[in-house]
Amino acid sequence: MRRTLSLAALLCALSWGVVSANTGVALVHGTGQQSDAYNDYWKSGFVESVRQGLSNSSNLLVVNCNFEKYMWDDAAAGCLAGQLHNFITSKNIDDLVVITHSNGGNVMRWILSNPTWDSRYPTIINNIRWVNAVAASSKGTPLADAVMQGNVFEQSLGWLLGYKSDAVRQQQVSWMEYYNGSWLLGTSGRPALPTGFWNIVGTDVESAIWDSDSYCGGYLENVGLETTQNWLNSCSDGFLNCSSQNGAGTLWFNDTDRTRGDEPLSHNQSRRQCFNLDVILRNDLYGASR
Amino acid sequence: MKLTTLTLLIATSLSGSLMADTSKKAIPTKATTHKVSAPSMANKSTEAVSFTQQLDPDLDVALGVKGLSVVSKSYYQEVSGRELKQGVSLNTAGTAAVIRVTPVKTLVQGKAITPAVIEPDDLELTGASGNFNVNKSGMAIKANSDQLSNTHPGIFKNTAAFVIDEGMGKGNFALKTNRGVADNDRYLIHVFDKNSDVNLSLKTDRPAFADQDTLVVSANLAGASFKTGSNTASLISPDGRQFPMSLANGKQGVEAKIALTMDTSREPGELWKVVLNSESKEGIPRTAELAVDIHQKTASISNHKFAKGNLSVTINVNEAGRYELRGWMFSQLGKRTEPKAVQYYAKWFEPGQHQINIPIGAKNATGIVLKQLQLLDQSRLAVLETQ
Repeated sequence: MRRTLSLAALLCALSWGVVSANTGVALVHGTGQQSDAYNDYWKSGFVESVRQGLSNSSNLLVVNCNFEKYMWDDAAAGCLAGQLHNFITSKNIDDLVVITHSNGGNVMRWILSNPTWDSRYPTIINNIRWVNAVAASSKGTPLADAVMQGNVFEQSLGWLLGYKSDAVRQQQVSWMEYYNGSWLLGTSGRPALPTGFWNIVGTDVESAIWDSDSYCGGYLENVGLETTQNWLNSCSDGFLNCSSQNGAGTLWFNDTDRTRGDEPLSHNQSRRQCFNLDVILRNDLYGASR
Repeated sequence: MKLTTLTLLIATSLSGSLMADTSKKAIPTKATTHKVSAPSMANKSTEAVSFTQQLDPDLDVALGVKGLSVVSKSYYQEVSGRELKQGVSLNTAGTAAVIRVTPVKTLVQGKAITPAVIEPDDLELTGASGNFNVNKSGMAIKANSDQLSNTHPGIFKNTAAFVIDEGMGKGNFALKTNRGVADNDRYLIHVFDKNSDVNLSLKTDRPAFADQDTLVVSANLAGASFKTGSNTASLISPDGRQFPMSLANGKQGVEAKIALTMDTSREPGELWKVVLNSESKEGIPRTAELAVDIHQKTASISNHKFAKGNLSVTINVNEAGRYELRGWMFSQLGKRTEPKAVQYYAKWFEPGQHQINIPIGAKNATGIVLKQLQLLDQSRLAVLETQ
């Protein structure tokens, strides 16, 4: 409701010529170190479809950073801030829509929650219209707990069960509980984030071999995600419980409420051109950029 | 009768282990020590940055600090290759438990060796209803290593897993491998008793502790009672140092306690963990791990005053670093208050006493009260004070 009202107000202002926003969109990937997120993390079909929502198609940024690191690390939030700040200032963006996926939501939330960390942060915050957080790991995942249980660092051996990245450690449920309560905004009882943080929640995984929808985003990946649902609640996207995906900010929609054919979005499908997700995100830009 | 099997990640790794302790590794009861290296700083920026965030007056903002908690329906145990060849006992209180077997690195002649991955095909599970090969007895869902490394890169490396078929029920099982693993190889077996009512919870009354504080963690077992003398607890630093915690019966369950007199250095933002192992009177084991922040008291608030649109704060800085003050401002409406804004200010400070004046703005200051003041160490990531 609040989102609809905000958009309506913006559209109204646009129609009266009061606002002439220069809209841009930034896509922020999830865990991993990316050098070509356009092709490797999102895929060109998804990005190009979203881009169609911009009146100036060059106002697109696909972020490439190292999100294997903790969210506050220079290689993570520092890198993201650098790319966003440069994008905003070089293109005079004053109406930035940020689309995050998975742990990218946490890194973005770090910037929004800690405005004095870096002198670039206020400029970024002040020019964001809102964040569309797709499958955000706001409250961590039991999968990270499962792989860290019993995994201890020993000086002579390193990690006993093998190295897990800082990002995996950070996304343990009780670690995120600490960060949410102490360093991050937007969860229950905490101040809201200074910009809207709208969640798109993936509620299930389908991997039936006879169902063509199971092949969107990769059949084998969906099979894997259905497997790891064993560690999760019945409402989950194969990596995250729904409660984590909607743990900070505000629910925009649960996948099946808006997707084509009421299809659920697995954790892999929520960054692919599946079931009109790209069109929904495109229209979200389009409405305010014209 | 079938077993529902899930091959998680089948990343092969060759075993070369020859010598190691073959006894079951218990949760450590002895403090371990090693030289702690100087931690790095997460933020070395010296410039002053301020920010005002307006709050929605209708928002329910909780003041003060909130404790941390975790609930576990799982446990794990480390076993040797010899034990796994003979059969390891597993206990579940619910059906369809998820079992994982992961090789544990061991030191062999000074070299870290990871034993061979044990795959579902190498495992046999025996329960009240019989003896079954985990892989051949049925495969409702299957994923190979490529699928899972694409799905969850860097997470389930070297792990094989399966779900005990509903038809095998719950209770006592024996898990055995037919693979020719070395006697001295070591494996961690995780049991996630997802459908059980027995869960172990841990909680603290606050999220962060400073050195010299006493850390107290309450433990409760829901759906069962603790078996007398079954609990062990330890505190583990991010760099692997382990410290035993004392245990006592508290008002509600068990209390694990430790005085934080050790070196509390840590890399910025990394959390310590409390590991508590327990067993119910019925023999159901549980392990819970709770993350807590333990930090060094690098600065403190000496005093503060909010008047005439100005927030004046004096801080004592022990260690040079970038510190942030957060003032939580509320509007006073008669006897009622509602959220107004959070005022942020951060800057680099050298050791010593510093007075900071943060203008709130005369225009906005009328009827505004300071409800909460926080001091945060941005260089080491610690919330030092909330008052």
